[in-house]
Amino acid sequence: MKVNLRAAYRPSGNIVARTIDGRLIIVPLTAGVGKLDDDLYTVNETGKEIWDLLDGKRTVKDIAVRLAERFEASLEEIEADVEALVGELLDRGILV
Amino acid sequence: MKPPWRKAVVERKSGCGLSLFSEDFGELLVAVMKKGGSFRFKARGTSMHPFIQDGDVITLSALSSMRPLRAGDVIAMTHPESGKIIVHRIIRKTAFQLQTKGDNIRTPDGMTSLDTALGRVIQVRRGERIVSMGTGPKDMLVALFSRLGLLPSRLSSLFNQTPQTPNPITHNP
Repeated sequence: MKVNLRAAYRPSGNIVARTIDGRLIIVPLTAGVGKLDDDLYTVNETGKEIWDLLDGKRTVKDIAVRLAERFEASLEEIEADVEALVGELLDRGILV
Repeated sequence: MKPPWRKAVVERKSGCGLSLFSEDFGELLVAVMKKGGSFRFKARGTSMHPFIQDGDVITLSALSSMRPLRAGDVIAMTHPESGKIIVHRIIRKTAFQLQTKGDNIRTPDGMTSLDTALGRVIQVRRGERIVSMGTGPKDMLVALFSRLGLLPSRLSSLFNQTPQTPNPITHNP
């Protein structure tokens, strides 16, 4: 799905997300069913940094700028990463 | 000095992909139940053999006041002593407490408060086949047999199998 850098995305109401052992676990509820046997997602540390900022208020661009202040990488690189992750989560219905 | 940036990655996990501690599994389970959802996971262990076998996929439904728990129901609960999530059958229920037991275990679990119950098993899938759903007269009979301590021997003759050394049914998300 095409990501709008000026849009603000947030976690869908049809997921359950919990941080377990420092690791973010996302369980989509497909037709109300959380399928732990074959359908859960996890993101790496960087992904969790992005996830924590996806609150429906900050835009993708805002998130990239904020992370660029904290991490050693160019804004362009971080922005491309945030955009890719957001796109993937949108495709899976985890973000809206 | 800023930490290095690593490419963000999202991974889809299945089966044994994650090793969750039981408390965490319980937390995830409760969170799904609070959303009124169901919860599907792979069972491990033989304590509910032969009704639930090692590797069966169990679907739990959120508890509802519309459908109170009753003897015969198979539930996921926090074990009163170990604190682990187990899947056992209710063999006795009072207004405030319940007692469970693994069908393939001779000793019942201790009496525990109703709020240790996390969800009710509504489906058991073995491969592509659905082998059990909900609680019917058969399940209530099994609960009665179980409470009387007759179940392992009766079941083994019924299914022509030797009772196995039971391992508690736990989760394998």
